[in-house]
Amino acid sequence: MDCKKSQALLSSYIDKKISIKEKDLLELHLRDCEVCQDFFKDLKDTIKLINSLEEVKLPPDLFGDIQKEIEKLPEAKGFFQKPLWVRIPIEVLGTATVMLIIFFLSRSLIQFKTPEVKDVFVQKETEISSRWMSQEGSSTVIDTPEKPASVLKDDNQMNSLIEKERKMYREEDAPVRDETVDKKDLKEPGKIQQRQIASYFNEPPDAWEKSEKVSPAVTKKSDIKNKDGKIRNEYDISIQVDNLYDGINELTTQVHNHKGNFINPPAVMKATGEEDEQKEIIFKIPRENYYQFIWNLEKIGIMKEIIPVGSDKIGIQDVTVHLKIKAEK
Amino acid sequence: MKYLHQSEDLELIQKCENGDKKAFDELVLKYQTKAFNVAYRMLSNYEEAKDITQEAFLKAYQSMRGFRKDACFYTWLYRILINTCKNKMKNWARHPHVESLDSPVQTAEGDVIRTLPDKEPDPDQLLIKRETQRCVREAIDSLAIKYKAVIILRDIEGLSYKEITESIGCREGTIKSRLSRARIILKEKLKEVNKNGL
Repeated sequence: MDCKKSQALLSSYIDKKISIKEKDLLELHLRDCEVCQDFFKDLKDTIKLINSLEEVKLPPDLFGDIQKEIEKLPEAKGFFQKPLWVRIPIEVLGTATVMLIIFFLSRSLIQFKTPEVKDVFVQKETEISSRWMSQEGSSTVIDTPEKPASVLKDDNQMNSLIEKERKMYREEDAPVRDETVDKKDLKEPGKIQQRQIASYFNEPPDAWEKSEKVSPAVTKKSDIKNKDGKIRNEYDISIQVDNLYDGINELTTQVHNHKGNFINPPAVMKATGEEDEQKEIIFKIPRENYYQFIWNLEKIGIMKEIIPVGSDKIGIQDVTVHLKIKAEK
Repeated sequence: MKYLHQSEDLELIQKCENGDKKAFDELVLKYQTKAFNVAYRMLSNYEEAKDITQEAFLKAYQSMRGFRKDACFYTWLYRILINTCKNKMKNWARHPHVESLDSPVQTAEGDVIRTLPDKEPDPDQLLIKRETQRCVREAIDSLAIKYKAVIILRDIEGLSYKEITESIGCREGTIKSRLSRARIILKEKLKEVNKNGL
């Protein structure tokens, strides 16, 4: 222990307010250090001097003055010394006030925690989720990779998502929604009636055959309905045409128009002669053109089914289509 | 000086809470001398110390319901007293007010000596003693408020560290370090007094 530390501890040592370890070290140091010994002696003498200060004589009128001042103060009675008819209403009022405060606090906390449910319609081939709210508030929720069943809590979030999707699709390419639905209606709950979208993932294929002609919009919606939230890059499409030859020619035109590429180009067929009943054609088409292509495919024939198959690789730009084109006899 | 047992004070406090002013008078009689001396050492002014002591007792009476029964009455009283002294000294910083510790007080009976009568028969010894006391008082008076308070409570009033923490409202470590520092400062100031054996 050095002198600085030793001198700092001496005051506490005098008052017996140091640990045993510090005491041992300090005494060991004091034994050999004359400087600290003198310091210690001077410190003790100083404390003795301070202790020797005499008590100051009390002013004789101090007690009287204090008494007078206290007499002036009103009689302070304890609460429990007050009569019952005073205590009970105060206690009841106090209890009622506390309960009211707790009640309003708990209500405001519940309101604060309840999330705001907004309608969102975000358009994207694999990331679109649509949430349709009935006036009663029930909804059909479609999971998305980004927002699986979560609620977009404010308009800013919703707007940014909509904006993002708009950038991916030009307005003219965007498939037409149900004509009964106006764009702004999508944001306003209650105006849109709940739509039942058949889940073609769950329904057997023959259900489609029984169904009515599928409109492009519904097709698109069911097409994008990905309950597992995976991005689809391959589709099996079945289409029924009046004439296979004309159907294939029209298909070829549409594939080219939408900047697609055939993986197995259909063989040129004669207008007359032997014709196959159906053909399977595989081609790739850019993702951003896919929906427009499907829309135009309606002009060729009746869409029978669209089944997403294949991988869930994110970031693949092209969609692979296995198209079965069948002539109606 | 030993203080009365805490339970006796609690009885009196209970009576005070029920509006018994005589119980408070007993508390005043018990602690007024100590309280006054603390105030006097803090302020080094007789009249001011009297006013402050009166004010502290009044505040204690009015705040009796706020008194925690697990604390000592006198440490609680000292706390009120020291805080009141601090506020007064802050006011003095704006409007300096100094009175000699040796100047006599005018009373109805005439001048009175501030300190208790000395028992020293030898005038020389008496003179030395008074001179020593004056030096010590001046040295203590020159300390900063935080050092002055701990020196007064510990080395003059003899309170324990625990009692000092209750009176000042600091932790024991703080009290230790302030006390150590204050004593070292006083040691330096009173070096000559110590050397000359006054």
